[in-house]
Amino acid sequence: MDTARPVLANDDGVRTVYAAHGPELYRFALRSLGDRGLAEEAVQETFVRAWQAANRFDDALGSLRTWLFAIVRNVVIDLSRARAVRPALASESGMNEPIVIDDDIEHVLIAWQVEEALQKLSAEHRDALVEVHYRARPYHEVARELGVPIGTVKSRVYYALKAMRLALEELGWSDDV
Amino acid sequence: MTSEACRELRATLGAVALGGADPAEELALRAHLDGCADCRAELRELTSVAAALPFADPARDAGGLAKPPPTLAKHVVDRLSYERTAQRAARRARTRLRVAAVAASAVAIAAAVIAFVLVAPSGSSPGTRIVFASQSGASAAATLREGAAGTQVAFHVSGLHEGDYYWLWLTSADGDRIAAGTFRGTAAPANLVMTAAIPLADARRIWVTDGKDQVVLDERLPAAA
Repeated sequence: MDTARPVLANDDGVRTVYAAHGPELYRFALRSLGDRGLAEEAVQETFVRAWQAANRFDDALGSLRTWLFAIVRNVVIDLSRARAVRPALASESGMNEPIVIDDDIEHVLIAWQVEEALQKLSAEHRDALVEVHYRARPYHEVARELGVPIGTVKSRVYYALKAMRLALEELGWSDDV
Repeated sequence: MTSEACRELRATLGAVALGGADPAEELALRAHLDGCADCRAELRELTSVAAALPFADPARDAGGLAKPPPTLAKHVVDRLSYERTAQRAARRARTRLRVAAVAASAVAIAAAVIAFVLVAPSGSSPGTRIVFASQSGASAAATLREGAAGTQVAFHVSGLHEGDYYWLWLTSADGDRIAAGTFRGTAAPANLVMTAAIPLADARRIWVTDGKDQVVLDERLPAAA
């Protein structure tokens, strides 16, 4: 089921693959390029390249999603480069930062994966993690504010990290980056 | 150590991974870790998650996950359907050209040689792919293939001025501009197939001008292999 060539060879197949991976590809492109129009263009270009190179896709080597993300990464780099060539015109058309070049793309990918994973947490887990980590607030303060024991906040942070790990792995994140 | 101890220390694992644990708690956990491979493995996993957190800005997606425009699914389906059609058309044209070349060879060897040069680089090549630098809101991509009558350009463009006329051009190695045709602009994505009467190997540049002869899109083509 998770192979590119037969799946992308007809409209129904394209619809299926888009439904499974399109929105994520779009969000990653939007995060990288900062422009909705360009993000749409990037998704279309990703599907065209995937279809053109479908005979090089080997599902023994990885999932369709991993493969599509490898392609969208290159598309984003190409689109950013193309845009960087004409900064004056780019700003005229109202496009703004960030412009991504190769070295940044891995960081943007991780940032996007973490942000996407944060959204998949339950509100309780996310709030605990945001308060303790991003706002650097002491556990006891967060506990008092929420009206729960300090152990509960710690336990929510622990489960938030566990859930983040799972969500990140689903998004193709790997430790060794 | 028992799994009961592991359960009790679990909450501390999160705090230690994030680097904000109470020193006494951390000390107790470290003592436990010496004898517990499971908890050591878990701390390693959580610590690498914690290390990735600073890359993100949690406020960025505060409104939930952005949804792509509902039209994008259709655009992707249409785009691939059109790319498939363009590829089939180019393949048919090459087949016709090959037949013509074989017939011609019996009569005029010179003609066959020229036709062969046109046919040779194609094979099952996916074509030359160009993504244009975005200009003034217009974005475009093109696939160029060797066709029977010249270079077939499968052109995908969006963000043009609605209703304006545009020209698509190729520039040859000699610097001549060869028109692939005219088309009417649309803001929505449009797919076009046009042909410029030069061989792909001879094309150096692909560009689009508007009705006032201003260059709207412009890319150099990779040198022929």
